[in-house]
Amino acid sequence: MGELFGSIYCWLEDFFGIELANYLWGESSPEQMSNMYIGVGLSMLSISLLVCVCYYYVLNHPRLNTWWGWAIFLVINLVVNLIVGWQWVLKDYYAGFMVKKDVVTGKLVDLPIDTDDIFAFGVTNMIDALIAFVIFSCLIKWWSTNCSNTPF
Amino acid sequence: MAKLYVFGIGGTGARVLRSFTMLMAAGVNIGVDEIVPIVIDPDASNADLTRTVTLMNNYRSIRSSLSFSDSNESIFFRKELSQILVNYTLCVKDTDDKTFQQFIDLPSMDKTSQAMMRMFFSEKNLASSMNVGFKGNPNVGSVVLNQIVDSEDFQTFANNFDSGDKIFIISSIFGGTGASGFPLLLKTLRTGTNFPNHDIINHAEIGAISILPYFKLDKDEQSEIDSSTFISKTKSALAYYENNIIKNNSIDALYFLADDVANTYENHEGGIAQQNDAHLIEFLAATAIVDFSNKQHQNTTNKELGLKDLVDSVTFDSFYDNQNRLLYAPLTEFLMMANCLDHKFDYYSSKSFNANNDNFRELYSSSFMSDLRNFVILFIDWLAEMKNNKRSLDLFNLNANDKPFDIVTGRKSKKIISLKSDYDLVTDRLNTAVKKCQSKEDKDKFLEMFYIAMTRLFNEKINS
Repeated sequence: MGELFGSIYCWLEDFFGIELANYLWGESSPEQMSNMYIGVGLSMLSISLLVCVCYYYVLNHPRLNTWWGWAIFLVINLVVNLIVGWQWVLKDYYAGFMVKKDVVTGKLVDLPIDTDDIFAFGVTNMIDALIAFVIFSCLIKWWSTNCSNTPF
Repeated sequence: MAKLYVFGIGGTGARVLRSFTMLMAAGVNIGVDEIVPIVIDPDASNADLTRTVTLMNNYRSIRSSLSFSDSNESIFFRKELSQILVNYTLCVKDTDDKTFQQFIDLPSMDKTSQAMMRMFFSEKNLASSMNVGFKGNPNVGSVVLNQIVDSEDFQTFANNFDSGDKIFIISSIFGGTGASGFPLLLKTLRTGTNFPNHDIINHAEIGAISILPYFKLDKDEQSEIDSSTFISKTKSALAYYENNIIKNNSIDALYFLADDVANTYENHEGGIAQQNDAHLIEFLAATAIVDFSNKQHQNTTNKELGLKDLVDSVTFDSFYDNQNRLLYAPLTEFLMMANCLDHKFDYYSSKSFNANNDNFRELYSSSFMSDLRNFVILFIDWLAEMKNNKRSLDLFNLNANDKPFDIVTGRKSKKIISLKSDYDLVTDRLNTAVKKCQSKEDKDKFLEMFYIAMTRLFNEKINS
């Protein structure tokens, strides 16, 4: 599963940087050696599914049976996933986990990752959430009483 | 499949048939599957009659588009309304463009007979035209309507009559056409032998309603109709009915309706000017037909309808339980549907209404939909007329606008736990209902969807 999520996120690794991509694989820092794509990816899927279920089944409101009604929930999903993806990684940055062992001195030095890269990862998470929301919408909309024909 | 032949005699007959058609549309529980209305009124241009004929044609047009499979739950427009006569009207022979004296061929009678005729009929009676009915003169009507049995239309009716069918006769007791037509028609049905199926018809279950004065007319010297004579005519007719109908058991159930509060209408002898607003009494008369259709009667049963209290505005609270059970749910549910199709048609015909997307794409531009919309508008108008009449039948708040559940006069809608309210809740229930519909055809499905949803909403929000 980690491979799957990692490869999906790495479609846009040029956007958030190879260094951060390697860090998230758990390959570049002795402080963080697990595959972080699993956690971020599962939370992205869970949030997208939750928002989707809210739209189609919990709220299931006749007035939201329009493309803009669906778009409101899509935007909510994107914003939440942007924040989650961004903050998930940013906390490691502030915790000082983004380091590597200098081969010469043997000391821990910062990886060349900055906050812009981390925000870019948040945006990547948001883009993946967009795809997930569209797929979930297509899968679960059919049984909604009031919104089964949105977005298309 | 048993049929109920409903004879509506005169203007009152036509108006009661109008109310009865509305009850049929709403799905009030009628004990037969097919209704055959027959109007007896020489005044073919009477606006009350033409309005009723148009309404019944509208009903039939809607009903003919529906197939009602066994699994279809809907009761709206369920009963068949059949037409066996042109304009549902039983034509009386030789009344067109004739005066009464021409009709009886007075000039060819010998002097003694002429003198006898002039004892029974005033000069005004003799000179009156047959085109606009009998203008409150039952003595004229009793002669003319005696010819009904000879008409081809009566033969058509008799030919269609089957064993097990019932007959109901609507007439007023205080006018001309109804007061004279009812006893004559009943006598013909009970004792006539020169028409097909006469044995079956002679022994058929027959009910009738006799409507006592419930309105007055403006005094008009030019008019032959004088409403101050209504009561005296009623007394005479009641005495006649007592001796010639009730005592000899020639009818199975005889209903009487009367009210001492009377509205005053403009005085029109007939024709296109005679169009009275719908009235409580006509509505109650229509419920008498429903009552008759649902019961078996032995010997002659005389029936009156009582209300809980005499108030100026009759509401559902004024009815006793039986009447409430009969009317409350179907009329309320039908009005809720009518409001949707009247006030919210733009929404319900749009793609935003989710139920449309897989079901009713072609329906909104069809003649069925225009007939249905036309009918529901007439239904709301009919309720408004009764509400504004005297005594008022104020069953519903007709200005509920965006509050679809605050429609029953004097009753507040219940609160339920839901994220949706008002028309959003209606839409939600419609979208849920469409998935439960068993009908295959889109028109059946459309009405079934409304029936299922309105029934659920009625129980959730309105019925206490």
